[in-house]
Amino acid sequence: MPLFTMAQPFNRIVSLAPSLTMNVYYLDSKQKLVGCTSFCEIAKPDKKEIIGSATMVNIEKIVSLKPDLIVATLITKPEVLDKLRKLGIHVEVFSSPKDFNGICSQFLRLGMLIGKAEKAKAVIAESKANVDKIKAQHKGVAKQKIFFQIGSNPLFSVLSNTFMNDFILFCGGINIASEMHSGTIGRESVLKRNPDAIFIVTMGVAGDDEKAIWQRYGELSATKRKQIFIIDSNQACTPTPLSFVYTLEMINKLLYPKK
Amino acid sequence: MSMKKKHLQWLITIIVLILLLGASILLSLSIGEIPIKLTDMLSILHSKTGMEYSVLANIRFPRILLAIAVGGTLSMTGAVLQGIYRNPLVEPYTLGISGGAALGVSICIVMQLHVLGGAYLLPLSGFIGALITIFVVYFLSMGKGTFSVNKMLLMGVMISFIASSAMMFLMSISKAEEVHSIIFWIMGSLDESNNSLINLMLYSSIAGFVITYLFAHQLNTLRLGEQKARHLGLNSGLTIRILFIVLSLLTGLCVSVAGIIGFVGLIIPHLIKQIAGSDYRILLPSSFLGGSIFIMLCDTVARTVISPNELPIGVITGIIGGFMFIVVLKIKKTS
Repeated sequence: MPLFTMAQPFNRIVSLAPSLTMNVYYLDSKQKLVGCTSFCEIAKPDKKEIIGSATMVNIEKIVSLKPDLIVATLITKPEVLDKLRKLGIHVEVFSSPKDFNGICSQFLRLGMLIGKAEKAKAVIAESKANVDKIKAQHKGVAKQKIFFQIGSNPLFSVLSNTFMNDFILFCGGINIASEMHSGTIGRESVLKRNPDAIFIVTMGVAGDDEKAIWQRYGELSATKRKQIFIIDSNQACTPTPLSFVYTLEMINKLLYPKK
Repeated sequence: MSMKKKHLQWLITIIVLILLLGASILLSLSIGEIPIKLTDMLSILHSKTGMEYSVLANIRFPRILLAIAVGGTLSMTGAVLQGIYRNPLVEPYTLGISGGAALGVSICIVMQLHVLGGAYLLPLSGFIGALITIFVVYFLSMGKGTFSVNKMLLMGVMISFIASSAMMFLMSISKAEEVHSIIFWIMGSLDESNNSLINLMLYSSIAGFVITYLFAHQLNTLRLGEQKARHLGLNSGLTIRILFIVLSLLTGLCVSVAGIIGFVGLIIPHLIKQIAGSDYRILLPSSFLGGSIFIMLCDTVARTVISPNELPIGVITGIIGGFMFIVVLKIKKTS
């Protein structure tokens, strides 16, 4: 962490990812945001300047906004980021967090960059407390096998080194794809692992159609237990502490409605 | 070769291919993440319960039906088009049909129509895309009066280019996950869950085969070249128009249901020609069977080779088919 950032926080931010834009908002710094992508729903009401998308960045537009900080994810091409650096703008890259702790430390890092470290710490403390509450509920409870599905045709599973895997672990579940290294999974492989619950993330797929397909398999544990759920991808796939807690609480409620 | 001997040879070819198809079906039914012994298969099918039955009835059997229909159609279409255009590089996708279908599906994915209106809108928009392409190619190249097959070919290729550029435009303005959906759709898959769609594909492919077979003699004449065929008294224009419309519609249906599965329509007709000869009376049925077998085996590899992960079938058809083709060409040259 460069020291000068703490002494003099950045004041004109351009965000190249919806999740980072959300984090800037959660840090009460929306007035500092001067540009974001066309997919940043949270910034739509404030009519922020649009600089393209994470993959198709309009560099000239960014320069015209005179930002002092650009926050980006690994989706944006390194050539683009290099060019922005050469133009003398500070660029911070946030890789995809591997777990909930990763989400928190990235949130804190962003907070320090824009002079909101205290706010970041407060949000993180509250989120961690909420997460711990849920974790505590599952001590000594029988574990459920869970298939967390992103997309269909082909089926994609949440893998173990991703923050979404923590949704499963924190709810006392076992990821049926925990030993896999790449996400495509055959329908038969899912059936063989016989998950007790299936979560379908609606990432550009028709969730209800996918649900109907699983319900055809009467022998599947998830079908027997009526535990096939559809989840909104906007919250579930966005690495911010607040949306993580929101999704985790929802999943927990779906799996254990009585608690 | 006497007529009788030729017919006997044809009969043997067809019988061998049907036996191979049967063997592929059994192989494809038994191999998978959940292994099912051939000896247990009958009792499982009879009991109609259990996970094994679900897997056979809901996953493997529909995929086999789709493989037979899609593989057969693409391969037969390739054989016909290569004859009409007298060009060994032509395949079902050359005329821009796949490009149009892919564009239709991309529009559907980007506009999230299938999320709002149901998954059936994906194949439907693919088919509409294919239909529009077919109309455009037809009217641009053979609307009124005479037409040349070369012009038609060029039109098809150009439409393909336009469609793929339009698709790139769509991908460049859409979200990462939508791009992901489009790319995987393009790579093709036989994992279709809608049974009526599979039935539609199967019946259409059989009907398409019957219609095409009625033109086997005309196709044999067309192989001499469109001009010569006309001098021999064949209404070549009408034949080409009918076959173009029937086969394009079929290809459009294939692409909408299974995505773009490359190489089948290019390689299989060539291989079959080496084995069965180029008389369309034998070339059509054996290409159909050959395409079915090839796709079915490729799909079995795709869903098992890196299990529990699954590969898109286009990857396998391209690699296996491409190598097979090179080897055959090489052998042919040296012998």
